[in-house]
Amino acid sequence: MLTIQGLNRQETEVSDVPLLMDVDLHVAAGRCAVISGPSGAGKTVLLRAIADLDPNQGHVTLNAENRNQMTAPMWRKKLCYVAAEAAWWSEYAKDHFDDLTAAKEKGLIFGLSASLFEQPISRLSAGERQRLGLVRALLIDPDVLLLDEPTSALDPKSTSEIETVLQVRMGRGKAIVLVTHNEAQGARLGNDFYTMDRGRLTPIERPKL
Amino acid sequence: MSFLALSYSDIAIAALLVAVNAGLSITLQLGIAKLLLIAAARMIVQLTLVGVVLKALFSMASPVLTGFAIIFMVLFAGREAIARQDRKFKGWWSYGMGTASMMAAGTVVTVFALTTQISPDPWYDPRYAIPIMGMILGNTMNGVSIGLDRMVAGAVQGRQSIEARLALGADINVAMRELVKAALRAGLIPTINGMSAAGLVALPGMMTGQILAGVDPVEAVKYQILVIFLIAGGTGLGLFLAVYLARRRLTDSRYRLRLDRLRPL
Repeated sequence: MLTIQGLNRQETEVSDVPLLMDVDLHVAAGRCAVISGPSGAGKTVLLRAIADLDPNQGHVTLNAENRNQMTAPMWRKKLCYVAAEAAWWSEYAKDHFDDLTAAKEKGLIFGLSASLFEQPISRLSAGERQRLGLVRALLIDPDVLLLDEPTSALDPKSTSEIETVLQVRMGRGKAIVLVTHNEAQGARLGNDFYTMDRGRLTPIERPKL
Repeated sequence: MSFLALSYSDIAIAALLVAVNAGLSITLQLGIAKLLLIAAARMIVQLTLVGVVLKALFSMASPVLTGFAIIFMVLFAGREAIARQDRKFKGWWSYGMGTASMMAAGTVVTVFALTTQISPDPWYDPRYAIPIMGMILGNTMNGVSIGLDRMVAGAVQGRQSIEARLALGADINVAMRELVKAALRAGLIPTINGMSAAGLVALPGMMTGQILAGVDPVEAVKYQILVIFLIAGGTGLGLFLAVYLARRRLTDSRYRLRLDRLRPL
């Protein structure tokens, strides 16, 4: 499904040290690649580079289709990056959804009441915002979800609800690249495991918990 | 038409007012007497030079020299437009965008006014072309400066929300829409305020000048209205161009927000 070869990202302004160095990654349909590693190792940089949100070099294909052959919006609808902290562009939750009915239905699965969509974003808790951010991405129904600490602000019950949704998606052949510090979650969702250190991605064994 | 010409002694007497200010500053130890006197001296030298240059330009009525004078004015306006911006693009981009926008807007509006409404003979008569271009540039400069500042500062502050939309597959125009609207509004507000308050809060400078020069007030008002329209048109056009260029430079063909193209703080 998703194949990445020799992905590089250089930030010449700050230093000559590359942020990503020759990253190779393959995620097959219905599988989840879990990436762990210390803070500042380049995990978020990698997810952003796959989504093409920052300038980067490398060969990236989805189902053998090169990303340069499609427009950026098309690419990002197929591979959706979900930041650890969702960002908002309007005052009210409902303004962030084209199809509010579908959003409310999806929200219910994650324990978000329909009335929550009528509230200003500033009134929502960190956990509610994080779940809304996921709902927003799931509505696009991308082939690959690029998740950055997707449940960092959530209680165990909500975490479990989200993991169930993600597993159902994988059962439908959708793939996930998951960046997490939560080893137990990685073990529950992951099929392939990697560690990132100073911009280099290395495959590792499934962690033993 | 008649006007009361000033003698040099008249000006010297008026300069006493500045001297009084300087005296007050020294008495109260404000420490600005020197700055005040330097500024007054600069103003005298600059305006005298402008007077001499304008007199020469008017007498020669050369299209080439008039063109050079206008280019000189635009280059200065470009410098002023970005001088006080917190965040600028790397290299010459900020200066280039501001200057190009003002050049285009100022030229289009001035030529339009000279060829269709004011109609001097020849149409490029520097007695009309230079003051008209100067008034348009002076105002367009503010609009362009505010618009560029808003665009760049807004992109830095709103980075996360712009990128959130891009990550969800939004078109760049959709992701940047609010920012572009805010920058255009901010840049146009001084023009709208100026038009709304014209004549009520202060008499516009050009009209006052014409009245002092002996022109019938009704005729002076007609001229002033024309000039305000030209200023509004020039500001809108220059602002639109500058914001569009900044939007282009802040993003790339892969619809990425390119804050790396800004100078670090």
